Amino acid sequence: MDLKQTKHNIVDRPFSKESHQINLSTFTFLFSQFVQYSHERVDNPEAFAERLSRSGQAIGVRLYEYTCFRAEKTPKRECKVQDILLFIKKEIWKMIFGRPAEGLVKLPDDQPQHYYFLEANQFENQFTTALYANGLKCAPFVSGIIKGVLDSANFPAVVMAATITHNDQDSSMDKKVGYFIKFDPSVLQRDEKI
Amino acid sequence: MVVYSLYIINKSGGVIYTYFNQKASPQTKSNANANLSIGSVFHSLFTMATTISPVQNSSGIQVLEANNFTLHCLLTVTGTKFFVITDPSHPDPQALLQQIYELYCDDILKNPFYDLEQPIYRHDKTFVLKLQEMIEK
Repeated sequence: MDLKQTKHNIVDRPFSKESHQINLSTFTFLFSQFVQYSHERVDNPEAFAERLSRSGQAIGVRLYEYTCFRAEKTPKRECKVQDILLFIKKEIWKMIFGRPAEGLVKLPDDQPQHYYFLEANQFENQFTTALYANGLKCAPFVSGIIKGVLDSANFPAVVMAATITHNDQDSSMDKKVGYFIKFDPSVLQRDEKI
Repeated sequence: MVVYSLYIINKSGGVIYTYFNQKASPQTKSNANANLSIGSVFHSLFTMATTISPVQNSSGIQVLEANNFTLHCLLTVTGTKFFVITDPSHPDPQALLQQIYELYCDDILKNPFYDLEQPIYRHDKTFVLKLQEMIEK
């Protein structure tokens, strides 16, 4: 095999130093098919959200492993709630969307959920019309990914997606999506001890 | 430069989308049934034109000219037809059709909740807004 060919061989490229840009259109068609497939097999909004979320979880579990390996020189295990959330905000988000998350907000103690990620213009909602009255579209897929990551990092949690409307602008185009995280009580107890 | 209306017809002749430029002709009321028949009649005319054409593999009606309007049609490879009714002074309706076709591919076909060949939802806001901007500018 001559040298020039070797240079262009995909197997010989360094594993970790690739840019992960892919074509949005191509990806959207694939994603659209996936959503249609999921949608055909359910008969109510809850089951649809549940199904998307489960698919997301399977991805999240794998993504955590993969991101740990790629993102850091010396992969380490996150022990604190704050650290794992920051890890998701920076590294996981970068891996999926190519940029860090827009916002990570801690909710007051009296709320049922503990934290939420805030996002506008997510790819999963970019081309979709809201099918159900709650306007949720495909956001449960991403909340499933977050849940998968948290679960596999040993922070069992319930993650749900909700649309957040600002009072000053009522147009449905400017709605943001929040991914609300509710940790298992055991996680919080452990976090207090550390 | 004025565009009066736009029709999108699926490959079996059903009208899946209509748009009326209210600014250009405020007195036109959009009547769903009338629109359906106009679209279907055009589809039939188009098919007849291809059949009676003396040349093989005719591409059907592309332009229809009248005193006070012109009709331009774009037939896509999948059989979906787009046609716009414009003022005769409009410089390039074919380019406009091409842009609308692009918008349709981008915003409608990527929507997982859109069923092919079915009418386009009125509440697909991004599509409607972009289309409005394109037609009324």
